Amino acid sequence: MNFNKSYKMVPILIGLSTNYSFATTELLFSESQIIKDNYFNAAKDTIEAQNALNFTSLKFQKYKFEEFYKEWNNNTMCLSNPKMIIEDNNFQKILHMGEEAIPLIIEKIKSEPSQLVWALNIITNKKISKKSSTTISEACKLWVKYYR
Amino acid sequence: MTKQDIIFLFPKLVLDNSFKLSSKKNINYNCIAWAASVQNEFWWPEVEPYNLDGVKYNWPFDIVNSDKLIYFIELFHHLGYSQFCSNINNEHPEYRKIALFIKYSNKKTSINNCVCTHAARQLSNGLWTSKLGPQEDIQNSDPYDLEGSHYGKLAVILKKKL
Repeated sequence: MNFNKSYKMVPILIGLSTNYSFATTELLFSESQIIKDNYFNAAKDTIEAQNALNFTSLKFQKYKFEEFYKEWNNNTMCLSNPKMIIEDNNFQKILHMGEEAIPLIIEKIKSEPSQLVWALNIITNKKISKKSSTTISEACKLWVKYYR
Repeated sequence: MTKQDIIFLFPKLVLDNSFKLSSKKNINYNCIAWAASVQNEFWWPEVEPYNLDGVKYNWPFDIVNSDKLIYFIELFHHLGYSQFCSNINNEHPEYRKIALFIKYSNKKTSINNCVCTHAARQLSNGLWTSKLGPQEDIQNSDPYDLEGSHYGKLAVILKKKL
């Protein structure tokens, strides 16, 4: 992210509101001082670091989700009992990820419809369709459409 | 899943020459529905407190919403499987049979109060068909080959006259 030189940016960086009156503070800035102290680069570095951290966190969430999904799938791939499928330890770990898991679940059931859709029922506490004739693969499609 | 994947889950199938995959993967029906010859519904009693998409909660014939074996027996009674049977192969082909599997929660629990895990149905050719959860249907010659860590024990065989 690149910043244009702007004096309005400086109060944000030091935690003051943009309409803060400079007349009442000793915090005075001049362009030369800002350039000399490299505030803009520091801000850029901070935001890039934050973005990198967020990216790493998302990657980590996705990695964890994929591991839980793989194990859950291995443990329950031939089961019919929804209770056993839901009570699997790895399914429970996906549920514990809460709403952060929703985009990952949507991405997964979009490419590979499965009983993982039940995690959405539990996290959001709702069904996507009230019709009893809705199949699991139809429910997967409806959830993908709902979050698109 | 491949045949090898399934043999990995149910090792006794390796010796069964009749064992084969008999459908493509389909997540929309399960073993109980398939045992009742239904291919577009997922039959299971309500899983409280959850309300799950795609599961047929109007559990047929107003049977009690419970995953105990006794209510699955009642379900198949309603479908005409009214007699118990001790042998998987005798009386074929006059009778059609259903095998129900259970997992013991503890040894003191009576069979009827154990959780039902799976159902297999005998075909007119004498072989047995099973839907493996959300995976493929299989055919094999002996339902006891599916006993093990996944489905537990074969507890009851029911039959109906054709």
